[in-house]
Amino acid sequence: MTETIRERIKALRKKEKLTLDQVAEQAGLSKSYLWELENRDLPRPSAEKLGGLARVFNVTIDYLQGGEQLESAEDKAFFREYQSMSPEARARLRRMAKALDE
Amino acid sequence: MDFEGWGLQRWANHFNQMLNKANPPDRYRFDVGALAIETTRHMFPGDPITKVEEDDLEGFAGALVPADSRKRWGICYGKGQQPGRRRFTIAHEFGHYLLHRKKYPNGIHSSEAAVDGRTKLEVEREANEFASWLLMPLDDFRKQIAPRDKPDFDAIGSCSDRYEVSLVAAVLRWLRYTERRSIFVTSVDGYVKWAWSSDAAFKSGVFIRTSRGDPVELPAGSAVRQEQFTPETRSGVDHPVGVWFNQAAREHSFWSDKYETAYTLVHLADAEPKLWAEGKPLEDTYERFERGSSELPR
Repeated sequence: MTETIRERIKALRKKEKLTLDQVAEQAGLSKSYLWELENRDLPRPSAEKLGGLARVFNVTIDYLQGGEQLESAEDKAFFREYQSMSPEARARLRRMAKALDE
Repeated sequence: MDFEGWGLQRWANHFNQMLNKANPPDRYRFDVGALAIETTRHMFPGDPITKVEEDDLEGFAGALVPADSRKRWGICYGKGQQPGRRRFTIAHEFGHYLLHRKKYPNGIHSSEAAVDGRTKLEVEREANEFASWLLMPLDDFRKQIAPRDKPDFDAIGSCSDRYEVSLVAAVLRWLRYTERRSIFVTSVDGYVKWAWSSDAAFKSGVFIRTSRGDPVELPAGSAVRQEQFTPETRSGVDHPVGVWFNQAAREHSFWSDKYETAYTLVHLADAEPKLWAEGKPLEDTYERFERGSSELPR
């Protein structure tokens, strides 16, 4: 399962047993922005903002991004939802489509 | 029978009348997938639902999948959902089939967010409404919790057991008909994820907007903000004016480990009747969304 940026950041914070306040302060972000990073699908955050977090957790920015393009919740359409589905899950649905005719 | 142009309520009522007539032993915990397969075979012999299966969809709740031939449909639901959530997902995809398959011949994939109602997409909202109406018929629900009751999580929880749906689905269903001013709030780490108000609460200005703007912090004096998750706060604590919406309030809060979310139900006293309350056009659900109160279940 591909982890999203939200899951990555939250998991790292929990692992280090840090509060929102602590991480936000060390990364130079506002607490509410960090909460949004963890709980909302924000359009891709800037490298500058992620840089601070990457420093705090001692990981690369690439790792934080989880290798996944996030769409904003407002403009998700079905075909885009489909694209954000993992290739494995898509393949399973295609198999189902085939099996329906058998 | 011609089903062209049927709306979601008509569909849900149709199946509920059918179930009432048949009156199977577990009337309100019926097998949704079986119902979809059995009924569409007769109603839509040209493109019925022939399979309802579980698979690993990695974060997607469910999908409505057309056969390559376009002569059959399948419902696929993601692994790892609680039974109540699973039933809602299947009902949600069944709703897509009945209401949207002509418009989306290539099928529909519903993300987790789409099936717990935080989405603004009209088709997802319709599928959720259909699932709510189908699984939690209003006439029966009102007998369990009267419109003037102020239920706690136990009362609503017994409804979620009765209809085999998630607690959140049952809370949202109840909020849609209650005459009380109440609001349901989901939160984590001190901020509101999303919230939903009853009509009476909403009309009196009691709502929390989460779809736009900065995250909203939980009120400082609330039990949920202080993370006091005790049996006592779950069964209800009374707050004076100045904690919730600057009014006296009764708060019920508990923490769900599984969903890593705090659930809060706040009951307020009835609003003072306003003399000019007549004549203001009410918003419909969609406009209400656009204003940013949040939405529907699992």
